[in-house]
Amino acid sequence: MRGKSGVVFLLLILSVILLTTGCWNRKELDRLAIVAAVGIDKGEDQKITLTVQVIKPEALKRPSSEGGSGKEKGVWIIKSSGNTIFDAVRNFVEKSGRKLFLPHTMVIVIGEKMAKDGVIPVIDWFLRDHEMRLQTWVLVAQGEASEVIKGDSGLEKIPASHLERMIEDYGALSKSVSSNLMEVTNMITCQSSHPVIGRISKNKSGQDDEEELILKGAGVFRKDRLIGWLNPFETRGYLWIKGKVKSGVITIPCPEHPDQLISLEIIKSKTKVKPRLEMGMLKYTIEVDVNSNLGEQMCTEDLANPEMIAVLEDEQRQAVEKEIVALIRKAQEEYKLDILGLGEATMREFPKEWNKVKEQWAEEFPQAEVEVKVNSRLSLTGMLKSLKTLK
Amino acid sequence: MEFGQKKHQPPTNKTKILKSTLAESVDLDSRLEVNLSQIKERFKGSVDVAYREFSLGFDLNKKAGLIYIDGLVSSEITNTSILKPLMFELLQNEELKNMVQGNLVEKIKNCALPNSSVREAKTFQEVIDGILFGDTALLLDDFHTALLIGTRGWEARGVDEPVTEAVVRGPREGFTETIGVNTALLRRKIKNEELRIESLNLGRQTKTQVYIAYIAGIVNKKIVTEVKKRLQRIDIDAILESGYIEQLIEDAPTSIFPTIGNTEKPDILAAKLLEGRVGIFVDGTPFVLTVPYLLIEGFQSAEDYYSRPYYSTVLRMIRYTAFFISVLFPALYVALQSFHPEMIPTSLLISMAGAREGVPFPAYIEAFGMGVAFEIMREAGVRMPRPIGQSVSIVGSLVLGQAAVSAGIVSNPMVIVVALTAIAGFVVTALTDTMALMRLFFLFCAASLGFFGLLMGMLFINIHLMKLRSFGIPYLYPMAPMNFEELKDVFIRAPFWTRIFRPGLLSKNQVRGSSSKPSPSKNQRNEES
Repeated sequence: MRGKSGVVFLLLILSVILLTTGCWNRKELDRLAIVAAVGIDKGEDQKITLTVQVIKPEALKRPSSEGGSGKEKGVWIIKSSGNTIFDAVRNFVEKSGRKLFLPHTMVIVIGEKMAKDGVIPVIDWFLRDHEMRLQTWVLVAQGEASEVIKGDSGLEKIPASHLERMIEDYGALSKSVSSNLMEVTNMITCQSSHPVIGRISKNKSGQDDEEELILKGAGVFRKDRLIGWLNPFETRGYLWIKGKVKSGVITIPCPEHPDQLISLEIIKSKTKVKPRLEMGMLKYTIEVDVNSNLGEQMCTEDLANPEMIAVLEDEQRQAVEKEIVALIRKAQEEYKLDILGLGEATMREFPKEWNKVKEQWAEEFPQAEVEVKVNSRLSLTGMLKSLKTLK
Repeated sequence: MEFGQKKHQPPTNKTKILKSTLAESVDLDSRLEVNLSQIKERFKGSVDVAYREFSLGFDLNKKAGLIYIDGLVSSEITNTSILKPLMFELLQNEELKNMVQGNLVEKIKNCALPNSSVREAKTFQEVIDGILFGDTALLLDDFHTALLIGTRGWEARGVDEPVTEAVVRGPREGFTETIGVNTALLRRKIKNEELRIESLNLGRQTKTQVYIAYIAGIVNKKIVTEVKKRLQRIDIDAILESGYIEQLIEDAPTSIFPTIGNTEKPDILAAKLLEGRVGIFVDGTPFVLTVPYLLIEGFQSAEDYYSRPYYSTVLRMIRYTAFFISVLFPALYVALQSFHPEMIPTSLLISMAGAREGVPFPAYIEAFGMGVAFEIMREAGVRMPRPIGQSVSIVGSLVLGQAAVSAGIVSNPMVIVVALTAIAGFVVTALTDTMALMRLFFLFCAASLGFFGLLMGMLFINIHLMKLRSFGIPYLYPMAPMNFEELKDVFIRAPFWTRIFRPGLLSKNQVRGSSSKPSPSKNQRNEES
């Protein structure tokens, strides 16, 4: 008898637990407005305006026998504003009818004004929400973020995934920075470093009136506020120091015909930032290993011999050094900001000394002595020796 | 009131049975007529019982009678090994003619019946039982003893390839409905006098023969005694299939997991006995029970051992994967898309959302409905004659599925999920029923609480499995409690030369062989060089 009543009791408890909770928090996919990209701007009245790309699943169905139109745009762009980001997000319901579902956001674009006033509200809101992914890319727009969100893509049905691909493939050029929500948060909250976020801008392209999105250069932040920009040249300098150069092209003049050029394809790079203590003074060595292949030569000399390769390696070393030095100069002289991560390196290597200097690091950094050392190597010269015999 | 009455009935029944059995164990009379009429009275109304009265060796004074059941005995055996010697060949034996009473039965038994099985019976019950099992009873006038002569020979299905356990490589013979043939098939595999086959009859009405088979040198004695104890506890009208016994002796009758295995193939049974298991043959069914039954046995197939170990190992992994797909896939799908869409990769989410657009039901109702539809189709296909079964599956799968999707009632991914689940469910054949139930259970968990519910459900099943025992052996052995030696046959199928020991908990004689890794012998190597 006891066993029987036990079972009944258990069933009763189970049914109460399961039925009263019901399907708590259940949300069917067709009730969600899946957001692909968010642009965040700040208006003159300090109100926050969100522009979002909402995916239209119907339009993205595989074109089947019913003839799903292939030309329909895959996203719906809507705007909403509010006093805070959360306020603005909830205000979307007024317009969209479905609740915004943000975890799948591929890119967050921060408008220039918003960035200049500080991005803390953005970071806070996205981090506080338990559903958000920290892998979401963050970009800073030159101008209005809404313009970027409205931009169309010639390739993808979802413009946001076009943006995402651009960011993911930055390495082919190494002329812009890719950073996701987590990296940005780390850089903002870290004691000494400051974030550098990739720059997206909408440009008029040459002849016709069409506008295109370009990911080039980067924005420099003092903690959470945008204070200036890096051009593509300096951006690569930044990436060298951070060890984030994946690939890219270095152009150098031909050894004997300086008017003709040679392209070297970077295949591997490695960076070490070494702080050292010399008579109580902190000094830094940035050591970069560059490994590249000969990708192209305009001149016809035979470069595939040890002597010429040594010459090319030297030229490559100079080219890389130039990029790095340009960035260091900009950081130390113009922005007076440690975007290089020297402070972090010091903290790791000399924790005691770091404790002494960390309070006045902002003043110390511009005076820091930085030595750049590039170990340049040219590995392969390709399938061709030279085209000299053609002449 | 009704309940009360029912509760009182069984004891009265039992006493009745006892009384009747007492009445039946009456000794045979010495007069042939009395005995015959008694037996005729007992078999009253049965047309298939044959009585043949005759005289021994042309002597009209020495009367005898044969009783047997038509169809159960082979008339050829009866004619040549009973009637012919008793009627004609006795003539030549002068000595017999003048035999004193007491020795005649003995003499006939020993000298006159060219039959391999002749038993003496003293009571009516013995005689009747013998007749019912297919023996022929020989009653002699003036004697208290009857002879039961083995003449069993009925029409039976031949040894055939079993449908449920088809193999690509391996023996194709399967057990039949006749218990004697089955034990012979087993004997042919294990030629060892240690193979014991013990008998008992179960079922008040059916008196079904049940044999317990084990290898005395290998088996864990405790398991054998436990099996016997549990079998003796059975009190039921009929045993028509080994499933009756399975359900009456299993460890966990309320669990959805089987704690007793069954097989239709002698080679599989032999392998299980050699690992220290006990087999239970039941007359009238080709399915032989094996105990103890562990969870991993569902994932092991005889062919794993017949083909080389590498692919067998891969197949085993595939079986585990298929098990998890079959049990968890619909639940995971529902949990992901109804509770945690943030966990799905973006591009997948977009196509899933596209497919779901316009579907009128929530995901879990879709999954449940499709699951039920599949079970209906399966059941229809199994019971139908083969040609119709095929058209059922075509109509069911192609027409219904396609139409449901294009009508927008179910989404395409759901059809894929259910179809994959269904196919995966057939990979682990021994656990197919269990998996169908688990699938429903997990679907319910996922539909009510998402991943949290799913996790709780898994914990529940896990704890349950941990608690299960099959004849004293933990159900999850050798994973929990872990036995490294035995793990060689769980997730992988290690080569025979690495497997020296038998399962520790199951058997006492541990060493099963000591072959070393095969390599060419030294002489051969020298010849080559």
